[in-house]
Amino acid sequence: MKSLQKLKLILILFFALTLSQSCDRDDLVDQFDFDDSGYAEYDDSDEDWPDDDFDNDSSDDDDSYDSEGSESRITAYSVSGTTITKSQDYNVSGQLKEAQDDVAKHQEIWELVKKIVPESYMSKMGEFEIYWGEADGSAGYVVEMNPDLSVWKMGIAIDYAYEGGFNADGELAHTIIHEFGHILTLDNTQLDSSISESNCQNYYPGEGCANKESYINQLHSRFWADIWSDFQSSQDSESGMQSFYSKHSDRFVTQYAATNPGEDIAEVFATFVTSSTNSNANTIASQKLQLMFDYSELIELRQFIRGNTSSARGRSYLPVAGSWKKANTIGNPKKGCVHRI
Amino acid sequence: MKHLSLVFILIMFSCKTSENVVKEPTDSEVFIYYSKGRCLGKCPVYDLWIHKDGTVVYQPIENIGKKGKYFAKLSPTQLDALQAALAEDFEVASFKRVRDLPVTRLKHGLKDHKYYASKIEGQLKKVNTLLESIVSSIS
Repeated sequence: MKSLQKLKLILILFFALTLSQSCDRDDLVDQFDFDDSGYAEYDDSDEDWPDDDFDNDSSDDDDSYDSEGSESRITAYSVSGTTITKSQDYNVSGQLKEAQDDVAKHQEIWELVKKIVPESYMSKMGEFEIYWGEADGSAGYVVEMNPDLSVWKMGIAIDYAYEGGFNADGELAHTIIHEFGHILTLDNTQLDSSISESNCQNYYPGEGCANKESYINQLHSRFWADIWSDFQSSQDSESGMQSFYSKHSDRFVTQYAATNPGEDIAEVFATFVTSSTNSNANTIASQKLQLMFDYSELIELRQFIRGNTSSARGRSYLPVAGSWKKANTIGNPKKGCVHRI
Repeated sequence: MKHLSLVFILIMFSCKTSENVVKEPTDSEVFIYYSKGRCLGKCPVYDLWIHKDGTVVYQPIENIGKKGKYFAKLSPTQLDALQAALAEDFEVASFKRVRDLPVTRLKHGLKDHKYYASKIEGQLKKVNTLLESIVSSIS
């Protein structure tokens, strides 16, 4: 009889402990784990809290068009014709200094730019910058140098350009094509920067008001207009934008393309150039690619880039369309495979 | 009866302990929203909300190596420091887009700032550094 009572007690204790553990789990939700106590509170010590005394940051450049990269800029070049001339070495140290001194790499990157950007478009590039991408994770950028959008600056992150070897898997080529795609679709032949957003009758990407027949306005009116309110309401947070992409993924060649129409058209252009064939698929993403094929000048650009980046021995500088990092699907990320289109 | 009392005490004790765990606030107003956006590359993308009661909600989205929602709590001292930093006047230059660089966003009160984190200075840089230190503590 006594042993039966003991057994009952053990069973009760077991259930009590099980219950208490489930109680803990209900409350934890997704607790982060830098404190084993279960109460994740920041340390008050000065070590973990940033020093107040950091106002002495010296920004040595006041270029009005350059809004980013001041802490990771390495070398600036001016562009004349198809030639670059060093205009400034920034004050850097360590691995950035090593990258600065390795001018052969700067030139090697520029040679790839020349294979992608035709000479006739070079006049739109006023400056070329080598910078260190690790600081923010970016691989490249473009920004207008003149308010009228006639001249642009292109920056390329040298660390990512050589990650895994020069232009590994065509990643650098994709970056350059994407950046060139921005210049192509946002310059003064496409946009009018003198028209404010409130007076713009067409799509306004930020740099200026799109002309009615511009590539980006066509893309916006045909493929964004019906989801525009959904897109705008997703802008409250990054998780909102993530949900927007998940909901409309079959409309985009990559996830980054869903960021805004400006990124969409640059990604569509990069996919259009790197795809070996035209797409017959019926998705909106494929229809965007078809839009590119509707313009003879874009087909010529595609042929120029593809011809310049392939050798008789079969080597290509280009990536397989859609194979670049974080951009490995066309339309549906759940498929999880590379599409040749 | 003795046994039942023991069980009751055990359950109460276990649930009392879990009250110290940080939970997603349901009634506390958001004091700060801070985020890093996408870029062409491998930029960390995340949302961060700080509530008036000091609760921090962190949601990594991409290039961070973790998913889900994470919760933390700022101490009163840290919350005061953040409030004081935000109370000071700071100017944010009008936003000019640089294609493919990650945009940082800071919302507090009625203000909604967008900027590139490496090109800021002064008080905004101070606030930004405080917020980045919170994020790096969590991630």
